[in-house]
Amino acid sequence: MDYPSMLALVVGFGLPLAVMFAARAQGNAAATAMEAIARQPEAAGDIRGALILSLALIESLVIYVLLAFLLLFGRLPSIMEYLQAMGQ
Amino acid sequence: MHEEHGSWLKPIADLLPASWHGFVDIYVLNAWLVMLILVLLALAGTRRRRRVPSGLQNAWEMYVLFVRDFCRDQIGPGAEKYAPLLGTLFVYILFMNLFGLIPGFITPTMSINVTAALALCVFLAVQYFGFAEQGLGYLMHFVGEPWWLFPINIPVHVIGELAKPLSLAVRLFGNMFGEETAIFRMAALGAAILPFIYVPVPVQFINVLLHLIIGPIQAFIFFILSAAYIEIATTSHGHEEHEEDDTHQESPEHAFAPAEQAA
Repeated sequence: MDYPSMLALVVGFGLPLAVMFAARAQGNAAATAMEAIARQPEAAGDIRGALILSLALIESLVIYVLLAFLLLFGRLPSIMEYLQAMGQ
Repeated sequence: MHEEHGSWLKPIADLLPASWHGFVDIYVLNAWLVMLILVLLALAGTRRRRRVPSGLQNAWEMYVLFVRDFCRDQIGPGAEKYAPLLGTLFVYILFMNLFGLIPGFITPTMSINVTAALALCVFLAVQYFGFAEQGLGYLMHFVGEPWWLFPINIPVHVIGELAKPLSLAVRLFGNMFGEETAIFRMAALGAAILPFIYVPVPVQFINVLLHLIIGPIQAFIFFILSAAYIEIATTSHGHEEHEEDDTHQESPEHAFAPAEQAA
């Protein structure tokens, strides 16, 4: 596989992959926090603060991937450049 | 991309002297405008203070009380001295995040230079507060718990300390840039389908609503994380453990003393 195709695959599938796992992790964290709030409604304030903090930390990993995505996205050749490179 | 699609501050940016180019761009001008608005709001809120507050003074008092109580709860007693820095960061980032929703203006936090400057401020403030609170004992944070593991612990802790401002800056930038890019793409889509349906449809409406939610949340996350970093830097871990040990040792004595006397 040549370099532009591999780059396109990475740009196309890298971010959704990261989003999939991060969404799973964030859903897990939110579900556990909901259960904790349902079990102890008087501790809802503390749990909410910790939940927001942990969601932010999980989300930052996706944002790193988004940054890598933006960096790689700028390196993708346009379609005409790619066709010319393939024709040669 | 975003600089070309127009801003009301673009003529002012063109009027700037040539030596300023590369230093003062359209994002910095928008950030300065936000600062100006905040200063005017603060002046208007505190100019004629009354014992029974109303209007703007009421809002500012609510905000100041919120930040003060948050610092007390999150960092500990005596943490009101960090409230000015944290409160300023929160309201400034909040206004900057929502500023792009006004037509003709740009969200300044969409540029990584603005968010990196804010994160550097937090980084330097955290180091300063750490040294001011604990003196040279702050450096023991980097040595870690079993002190003979310091060849491993010190590089790990230094990298972790440097990753904090990086993650702060990149998180705010990524969220705001992603959200604004989504709004821009949706608006472009609405313009692209206009020749076929003849009715202007605000396709980006949902994204604008999402931006209204995400802007305050990201400002609040920046605020919470800054408070957490200050708390980590200013409280010494070993000291807390000793205090806990003392209370554990003392509490049984206090509990048993009256019982023994009674017996």
